[in-house]
Amino acid sequence: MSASASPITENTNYRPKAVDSPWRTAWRRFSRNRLAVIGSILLVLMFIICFIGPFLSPYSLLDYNLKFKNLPPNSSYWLGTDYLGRDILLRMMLAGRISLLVGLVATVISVIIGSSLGAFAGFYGKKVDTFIMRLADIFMALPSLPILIIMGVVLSDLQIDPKQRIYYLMVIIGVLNWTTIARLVRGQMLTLREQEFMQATDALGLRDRRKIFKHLLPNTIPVIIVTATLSVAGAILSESALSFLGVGVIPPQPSWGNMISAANNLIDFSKRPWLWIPPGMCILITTVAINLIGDGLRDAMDPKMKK
Amino acid sequence: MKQYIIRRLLQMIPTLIGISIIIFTISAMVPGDYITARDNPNMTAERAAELRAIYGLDKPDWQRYFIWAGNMITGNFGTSLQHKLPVMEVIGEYVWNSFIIAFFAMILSWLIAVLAGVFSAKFQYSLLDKLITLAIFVCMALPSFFIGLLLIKWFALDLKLLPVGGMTTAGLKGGSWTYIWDVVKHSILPISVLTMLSIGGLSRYFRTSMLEVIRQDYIRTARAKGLKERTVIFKHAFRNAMIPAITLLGFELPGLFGGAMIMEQIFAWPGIGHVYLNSINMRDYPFMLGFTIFLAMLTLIGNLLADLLYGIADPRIRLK
Amino acid sequence: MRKKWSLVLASALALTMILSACGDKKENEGSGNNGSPNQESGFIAATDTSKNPKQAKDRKDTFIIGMTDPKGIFNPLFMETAYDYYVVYSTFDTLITYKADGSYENSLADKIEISDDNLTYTYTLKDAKFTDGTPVTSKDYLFTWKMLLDPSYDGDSDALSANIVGGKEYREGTASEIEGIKIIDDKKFSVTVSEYTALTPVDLGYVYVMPEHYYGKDYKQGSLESVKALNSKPLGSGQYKLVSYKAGQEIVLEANEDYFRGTPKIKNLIYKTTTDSTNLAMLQSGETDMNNISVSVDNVEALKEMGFMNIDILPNNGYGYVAFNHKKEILSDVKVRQALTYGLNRAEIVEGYYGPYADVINIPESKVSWAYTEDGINTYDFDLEKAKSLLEEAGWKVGADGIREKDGKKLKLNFSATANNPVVDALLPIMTLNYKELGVDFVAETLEFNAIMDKKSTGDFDMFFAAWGLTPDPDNTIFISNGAQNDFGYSNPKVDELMAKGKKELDLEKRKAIYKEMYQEINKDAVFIYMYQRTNMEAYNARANGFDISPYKDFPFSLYQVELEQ
Repeated sequence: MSASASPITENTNYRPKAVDSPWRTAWRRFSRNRLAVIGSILLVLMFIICFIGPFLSPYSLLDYNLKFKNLPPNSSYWLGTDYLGRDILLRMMLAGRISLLVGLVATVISVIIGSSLGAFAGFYGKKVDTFIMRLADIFMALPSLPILIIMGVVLSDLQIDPKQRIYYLMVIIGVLNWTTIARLVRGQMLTLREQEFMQATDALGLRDRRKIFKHLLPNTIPVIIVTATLSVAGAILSESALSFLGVGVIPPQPSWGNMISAANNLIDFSKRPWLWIPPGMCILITTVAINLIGDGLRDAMDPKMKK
Repeated sequence: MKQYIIRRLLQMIPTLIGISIIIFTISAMVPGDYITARDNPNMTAERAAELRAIYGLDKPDWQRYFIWAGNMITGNFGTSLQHKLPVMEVIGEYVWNSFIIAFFAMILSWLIAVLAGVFSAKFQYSLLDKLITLAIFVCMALPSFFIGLLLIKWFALDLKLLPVGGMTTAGLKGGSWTYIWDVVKHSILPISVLTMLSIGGLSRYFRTSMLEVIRQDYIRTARAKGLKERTVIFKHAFRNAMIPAITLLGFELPGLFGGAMIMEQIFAWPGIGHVYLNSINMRDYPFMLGFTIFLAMLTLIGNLLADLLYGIADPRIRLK
Repeated sequence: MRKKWSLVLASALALTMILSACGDKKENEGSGNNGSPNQESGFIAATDTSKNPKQAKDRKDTFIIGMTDPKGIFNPLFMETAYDYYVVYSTFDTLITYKADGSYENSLADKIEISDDNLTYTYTLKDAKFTDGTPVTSKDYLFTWKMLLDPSYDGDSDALSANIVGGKEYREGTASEIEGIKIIDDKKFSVTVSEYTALTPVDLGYVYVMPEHYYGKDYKQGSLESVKALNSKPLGSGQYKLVSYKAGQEIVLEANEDYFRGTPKIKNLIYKTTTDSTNLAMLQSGETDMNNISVSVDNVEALKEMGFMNIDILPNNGYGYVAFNHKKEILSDVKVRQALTYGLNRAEIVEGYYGPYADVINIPESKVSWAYTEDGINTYDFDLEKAKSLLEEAGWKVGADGIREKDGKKLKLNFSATANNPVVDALLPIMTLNYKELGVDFVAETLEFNAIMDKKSTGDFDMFFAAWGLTPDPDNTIFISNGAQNDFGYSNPKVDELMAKGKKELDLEKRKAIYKEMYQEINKDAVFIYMYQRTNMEAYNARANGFDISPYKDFPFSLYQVELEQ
């Protein structure tokens, strides 16, 4: 019997468990969340349909035919036609290109500006806070309509291609809308700043920027996500308000917003539902998808959620 | 606290001045003026010049600013070009109609949003949560005029339960109770639409807040202590979750008086919103500027209120 | 469409209407609904009055008219919108008033005598009373002119253009009385002008008589504030008197029992505020009895389906057009303008939105006007080949990228139109397609209405789409060189000559011939692309009978004759 102790050369299957980085944990939790995955798939599908779909359609943007106007869905026009005899399905897809991009661009801009400013205001307090908050007051008090009208005129004077103007405008809308997020983030900051873990960061002697972006902001992410996901739907719908003012998308270019507002009268509304149900459903699906993703993200990043 | 309030009130003055300059500049940059907006093909060039002189539109912009600002300080908001009445009087004629709708819609929507949010959070992922969430998404994804048209079609035209629009029945005679009941009947649909529009955002927000709070350790402690679930939710979780929502209350203030342009169009409600929109389209500067400043003041006061309430509600915040 | 209404009616107010040769009973030709073979218009009677909603049937002595809310300026001097005008016409009277065919007849005036030199007009008033019982007298007419000519008057009427002797001095403040208006007795007075035109009888006669004892109480020359304070409390001699006014909601009126044409048959009249979204629905539910509904195939069908509505479709006094900036090099060539007109499928655009309820037009005149003509007018029917050959002739050859060029310049055109406009929604897609085939680099944008008007006045545009109202009289300043409304840079000496001749000519037949020639010139020059003349629709509950509505005689004019079936 050899009871001699030998160094542990076998059983080298043992490996210390790698601690996942927070991002990997979040990703794993996200991908296990059924609803969040469904949301992501929906969103990706929406993008594919809207960006690739039109290439598969027998019709193109400028096609119209008065003989086939106001038809309900049939074999040649799967979703029916509008008052000029244009294919609703194609218009819905082309509209999606604009509406999706526009919603996302405006939201991303307002989130970035709003979170940063709100974070600085909440963190530094005193003069910085006062300055940023009064700035927010001014922005909130500005009447958006006259500003948008002026922007429309400026873009016209600068001879910017009308088809590109909508993007400039959404950037402007994003810039004008940072105040809500800023106030919410600031509010969160004020609370979080006093908590114990921040004392720990003080003790560690961390630099301000690290404190804000690596410790405080991530804790405000739930709030940011909720506001961001809500504002995407708002941004998509506000694009139709822009058309109302004369600074939106130019006909014949469709957008979900202007397709819905075209059916904004009792008769089209009740007699021709195929005019507004497709774009309405698209906005609904997009909103649901983004919110599911948002919920999933929030749950994934919450350290207190059990796996 | 008092110091804080006084300091904030003092800060409002330069802010207001800044706002007035920006707003005035914006309105000066907008192309066209009241005469071009009228687009009267029979107006001779001389008459147009005469009118511009009478309205003071021919003076250089900076002069017009100081004249206007000077008047504002003494409380003279100017005379509306369209209505030929003092701006404040015009506002007074319409603003209370908007207020009624906005106020009740606000109360209703907060109530429903709070309940929905708390419910959703407590029963996250349950069937009820999913149904409520779906209903809320539908409200959020559809534009206001749609919901309005739908309600008009169902309740006013098909079921004939409620009137189509307006605030009162034309030529109604009778005492104050008949009148009040008439207004109530007319306001049910507009209030419903406004409520449906607001609960979307609010309820999602409360739900997130609640979810955050419910996962905190102190809630676990409260449950461990054996407290009734109802106490845990409403006395502890709820109150903490509502704190950030207090800031939103402050934002509601300008909304109460600002009117809802689209809703007023849909229901022919005599509110201030469409009067404001008209004044922008017709370049009725005195009204445009006067009302914008009015709303700006409300915004500033609303923000101050929000900050104050936040400071009172959350003992961890020190307002310096 | 609101703006177009106020234009049409404001222009009617602006004292520019022709009077058929003084005292001559000749009927106006070209009036009524003839000459519009393509356009469906006319009266569609209700088919099933049993469907009338209970709310409406129960209203035995009250009639509710829905309209966009007025501004509350129920004062003939200062009213600006069409809706304030409706209330004013229901409560005030003028010396002469419209007939259905657009000519005039006496109203408050019993007799009108004109001197041989056409410079002095003597009026005798009928027996009429203001609604507070005070009789209408000459001094009230004089007082109305004092207010119109007051130095601080900032309303729309261009009172000086009537050329009343002494008017200028009163306006300048150098005189405290108006020399040209002489009071002969309580019921008789004379007005003398320094210069007459075909419009003078209207300038002097189409004036709302306002009571001096009410409006003039605190009036002093130079300040109309005391008068403006009474804007929402009108007192006139008209069909109805104001009972109450709730801003944004309703205006309640009661019949004037002493009305000089006889007590109005409907005792109570209410103007109720409606919006575009609610006007049809309120007619359907019976909350209103009458409204002006914008004409579209859908709306007409919906009204017909209701069964209890009478529908009156009338040509609108106005037209839609695409303007050219003649000062821009590309557009200064008449061949290019003609090509652009031939190359645009106007018929399809009009049909796309209006269906059978609007017509393509080719001259800036309404089909129901006496001045309308189709003689020698080129209809520029859609013809892409012709358009292309015209461009070739003008030297624009198709380049490698499909866009035409000449001397190194590309055929690029900028176009502005307002958004949220159903006509533009039909116009832009079709125009884009058509001009693409023509080889034009067509850049279209949507812009807010005022912004377009501003660009128009600064001349900073190539083409834009707009519409405006027509004055019943063909005289205007749009087509004459350097005219007040001519922001387009159009100039044709022949047109200038003809326009001036027509203004001074008093004989109707001679005027017709002058304007015919003028329209032929304008048509040849392809000054604008004339798009359409649309229709207006008044829909009212079938239990009301007696309306007399025409494009020139709006519904308030016949209110006193209407009675309700019991």
